[in-house]
Amino acid sequence: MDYNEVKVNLRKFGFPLSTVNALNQIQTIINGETSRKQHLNEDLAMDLISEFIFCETNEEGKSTKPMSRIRYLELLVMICEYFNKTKIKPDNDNCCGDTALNAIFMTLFPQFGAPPQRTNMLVSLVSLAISTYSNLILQSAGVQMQQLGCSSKYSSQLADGLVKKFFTFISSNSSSLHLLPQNAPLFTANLMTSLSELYFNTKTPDTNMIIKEPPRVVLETVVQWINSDPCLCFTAHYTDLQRALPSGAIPMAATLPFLGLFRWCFFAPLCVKNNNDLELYSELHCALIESVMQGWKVYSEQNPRVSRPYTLSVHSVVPQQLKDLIEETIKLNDPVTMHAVEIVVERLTQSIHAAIISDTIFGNKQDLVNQLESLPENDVLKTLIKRIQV
Amino acid sequence: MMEMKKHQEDQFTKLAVFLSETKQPFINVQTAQITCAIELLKVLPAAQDAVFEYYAKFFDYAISTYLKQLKVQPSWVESSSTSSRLEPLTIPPEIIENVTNIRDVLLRLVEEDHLVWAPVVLHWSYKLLGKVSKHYNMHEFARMPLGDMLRFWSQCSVAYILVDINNKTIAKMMKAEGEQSVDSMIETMLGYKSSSFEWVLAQIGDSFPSLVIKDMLLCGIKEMCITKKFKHTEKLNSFIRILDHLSITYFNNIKDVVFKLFKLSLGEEHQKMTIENIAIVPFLLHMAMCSSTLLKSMLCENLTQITPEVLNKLLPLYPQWKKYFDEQCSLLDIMVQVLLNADRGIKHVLNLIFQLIDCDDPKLKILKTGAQTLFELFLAELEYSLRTNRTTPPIVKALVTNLHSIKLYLLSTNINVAQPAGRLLSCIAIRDQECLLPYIATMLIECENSTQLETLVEILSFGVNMAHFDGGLVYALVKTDVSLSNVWSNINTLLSLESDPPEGISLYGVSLAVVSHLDKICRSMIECCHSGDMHSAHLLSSILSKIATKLCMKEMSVPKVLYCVKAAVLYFFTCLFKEKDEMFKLKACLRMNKFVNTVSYRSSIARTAAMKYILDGVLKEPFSLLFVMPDNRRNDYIIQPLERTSLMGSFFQQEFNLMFGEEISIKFDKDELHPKYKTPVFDAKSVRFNEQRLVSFLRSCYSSDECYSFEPTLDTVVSLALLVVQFVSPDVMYNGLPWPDEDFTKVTIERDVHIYHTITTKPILWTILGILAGHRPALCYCSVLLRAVCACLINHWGAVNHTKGKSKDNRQLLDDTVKLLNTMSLGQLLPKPLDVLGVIVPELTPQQILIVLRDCVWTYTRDHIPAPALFLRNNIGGMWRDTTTVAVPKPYSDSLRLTMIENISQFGDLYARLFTNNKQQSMET
Repeated sequence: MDYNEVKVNLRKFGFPLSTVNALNQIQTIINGETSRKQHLNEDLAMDLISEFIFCETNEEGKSTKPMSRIRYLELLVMICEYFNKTKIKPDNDNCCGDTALNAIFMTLFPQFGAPPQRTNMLVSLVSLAISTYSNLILQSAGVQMQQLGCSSKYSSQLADGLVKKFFTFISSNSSSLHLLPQNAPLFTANLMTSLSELYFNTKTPDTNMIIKEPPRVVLETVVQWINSDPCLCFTAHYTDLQRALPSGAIPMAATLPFLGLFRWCFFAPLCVKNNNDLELYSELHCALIESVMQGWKVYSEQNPRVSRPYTLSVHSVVPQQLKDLIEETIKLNDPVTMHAVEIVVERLTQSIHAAIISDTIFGNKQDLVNQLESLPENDVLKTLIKRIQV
Repeated sequence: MMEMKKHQEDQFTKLAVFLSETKQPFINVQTAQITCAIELLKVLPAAQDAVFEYYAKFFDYAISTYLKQLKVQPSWVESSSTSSRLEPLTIPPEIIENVTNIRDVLLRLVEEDHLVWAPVVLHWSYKLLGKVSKHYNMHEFARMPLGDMLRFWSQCSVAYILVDINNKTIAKMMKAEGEQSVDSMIETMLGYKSSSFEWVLAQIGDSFPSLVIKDMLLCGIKEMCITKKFKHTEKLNSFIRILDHLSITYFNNIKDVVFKLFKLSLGEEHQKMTIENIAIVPFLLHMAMCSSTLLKSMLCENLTQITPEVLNKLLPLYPQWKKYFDEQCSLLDIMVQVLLNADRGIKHVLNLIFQLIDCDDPKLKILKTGAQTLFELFLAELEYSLRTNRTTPPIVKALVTNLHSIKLYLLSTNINVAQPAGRLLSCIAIRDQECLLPYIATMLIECENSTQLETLVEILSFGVNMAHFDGGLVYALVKTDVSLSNVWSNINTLLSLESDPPEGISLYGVSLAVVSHLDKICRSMIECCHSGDMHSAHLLSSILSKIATKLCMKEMSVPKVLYCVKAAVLYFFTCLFKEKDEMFKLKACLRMNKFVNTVSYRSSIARTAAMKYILDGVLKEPFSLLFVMPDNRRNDYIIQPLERTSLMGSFFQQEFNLMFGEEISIKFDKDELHPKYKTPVFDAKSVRFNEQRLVSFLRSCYSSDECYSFEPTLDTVVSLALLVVQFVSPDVMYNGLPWPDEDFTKVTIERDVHIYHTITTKPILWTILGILAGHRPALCYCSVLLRAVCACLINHWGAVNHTKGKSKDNRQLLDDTVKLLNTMSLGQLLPKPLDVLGVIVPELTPQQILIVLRDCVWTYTRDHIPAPALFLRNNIGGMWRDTTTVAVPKPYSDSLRLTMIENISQFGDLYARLFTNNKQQSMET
């Protein structure tokens, strides 16, 4: 079929049908015929997506007015149902989803080449998918996130959007959130990594050096997830992405949420004022240490062939911002804040200790000692340094 | 897994149902569907936008139904007679019900978890409001004023429900989290572009006035900070309209907000202040120029909290303010403009400015000079606009009503304060001259030192203010509760300044104004004389003498002239009577001489009155005592008579009494028995002094000479003579010139005795008679008095004769005889040789005196009636009786001759001179 022929045929239908047909058409283009040249196929798919699915362009390829919210919802439902109805391969391990669907998802929501409003679409779609247990979409999203990097713009926009449009409106004991680690572990793990990068992080340019706290619901959910499965954080590491990707694609290295989440625990005593939240942070810290100590152990016993992951890195375990913040706090010379600093140092020490015990720390011993010695004096810290040097 | 699947299907069904509903026309929408949609809101965050859009569409639909009706029957407003007016537009009830449901549902959500839902609902409602108001405004109506817009929308209940949602959500947020949480939201709303959204803000403002006002102002400030310049944008106009709307009900809130904002710029450390806080004051000033509401809210009682110290804190900010003002519109210019447009609150501003000008604190020096410059500019501008424009700046009205607040400053002793205050008053007077009067009055009453007076002079010499001096004076004199002595003293000073004005000052007209209050002055003077307040009396006399010349220029009513003459005479006597200081006494007498002279020069009535009053005083106690020599007195003290009748009362009755001869009783309301009122008598020296003064006073009355040379005319002297007769003679009978037979005295003896008694107890009358004698033939008119004295003397001497006593033993009798004879010869009533009788008499025996009096005096004058016709005008202008030609016939002089012969040893040479030559002559002939 000629490109134009495809388009003209599709144009014969009205809104709901044209979209359904376009989706099917895209599926065939991407996964079916390989006779055509790959890049031409992709071009056609892109055109079809923007004209018939997201209605971003008209027949002449010019951008149109944004669609109404109701139609937008209709479209989301349609995509969801499309993904749900598609046959699921029997060997699916509920982690990486279907390879064909992943490819369609990547085409629908590519990293580059899509207008910005499609990011919102993605957020809404994922949000709807979480609520409706549309696991395949979530799995595809998880794969996509890992492929593009959990701290990439794409992932952080998704994570941020979800926080704003989903987490804030949903209570932390909602069952869809509880079941998420079961339904889409890779997505959950990657989402945690992305979320961990959003908060207590001065690297993000738009926050303008202001340290942001995560909303309480996000914090609660993260704690709950980690507690529900100590291995969850390692999911990205042991998942074999190759299976989930179209042929020829190279899987990207996994990032684990440990570093970011540990950072939350280190910053929290200095920044957070709310006592309830502080308790949650110490809970989070315990859960993380538990995960570091136990999670890998449990998994590696079952799958001895998988290589050992790194939970902490010597170079980034004590970020400069934390050091600055500690110095500033010490200057205040207030007994309450001094206590907070002590807690921070102790948490640091415990985390590193745990990483050392589970042998998942990356880096030079001497560097680590140097890093630790720059921190305020503490008994626990001293013991740790001694232990490292021995 | 199954459960999950079921749940998934469940969700999709719900979504499908909702989506299918959205495709139905709104007219069929049922309440259940509305509530069903809300389920989605809660469980499916992804469907939120769609649900809200659905709701928005429904609202839009509801409003459009209403508007469509409006379009179908647009005449319902105009045609008031038709029945359609009775049926107001209605939106179908089921629509209203649905809309209300949506509201309830949304508000419940907000109530449940405001943190999450309030911002969302608020955002939705405000967006929708914006959309709706813009949409329907653009298409259906042209740009409307805010009031019309509000009225228009207030008829649409659906729109009101929407506003209600908005307001309740804001209220919830404010209640739960405080105002800060809403600030950002309101700020977003304030970012509206179209003025059609104004009414929404006005509505929100009705519910949260302070908040909206504050945010509006802050929004303006931010904009100014960004553009670094104040621009009168459409947005600001819109804000101003909203403010105007809110000011009807929430003026106090506006005031509070403005003041709070102002306080923000008073932060302790200027380095830490944000650029917005710094810009507050310039912004408010700019805004005050544009919005009268804001202006009013700035100039209110809150200003009383702004002290010079507070302003001083703002001083370091000034350099940073500069950038918000440009060349054409500097800070001072704006303040001047603001002041010109000010309303009631101006009094607080004035207070502040004057406070600043008045303060001496070196710390506040910059502010002080600033305030001065500002006020100078302000005055100049005010004056300019008052003189050129037909329209009056609003401030003038406010100033007029608040003028009382500057009174204090007008009377300040600090020239730096008083002068601007005076100029301000003068400026206002350009337009509203009436207002000047009370302040002139107040200043006249209250000025107590030269600085204050200087202010008054400056006010008066400004423009045509002098024209109102008269009115002011009326005000001042009408006040009964204040002592007028200060007024008099000030008037006195002003009068001196008028006659000898310093450079650049013209007080022409003071005296004219004062003249019109002559009666008041006179009354005060009389009161002062009665109460013995010589200081004030002197002051008043000084005023009188200063305006004396003007008195003549102006046509004065007769009663007034008489009244002032009366006052002058009373003052003269009181001075002699009470003033201890000789200098003052003399000065007062001279001053009165001159005054009476000036007055009576023009007016013969005044002259007569003056003479009448003088005679009255002379003849009655206590002033008659002034002229009694110590040895003629019965007591060694003067008892001031006890009169219970009210002095004031009697004076008011007599005030303008024209009747001649009416007795003017000078009464002293004193307690006779109290020793305090027994004053010591006058010694001989002062009696002589008094006499001198009286004579010169009297002379000043009857001399009619502008040059003050005291040369009397005959007429005046004659009238004096007639007055003397009138006063001394008890009735009008027998007051004529002729002397009857001696026997006839038996008929008149009672009145003769009376006259004689009067003359002997008031020896000053001899002096007066002497004066008359000197001005021949005036004495002729007093012949009745002379006759009476003569008759009495003849009788007395006759009695003495029987007892064969010596004439020297009757000292008093002899004195009177000599005085009578001397007076008569001086008046040429006894021509040569009878004129020497006075010299001879003391040496004679009573018998001889009797004979002489009978033969030479009585008989001669009886036969030669002392008529003025006997006197001829001589070559030097006086009147003269030529006695050389008209010799005394023998029979009359024989007694004298014989008596002299009897005492020839003593009168030898005199006799020779009188008779020998004469005889020779007669013998020769």
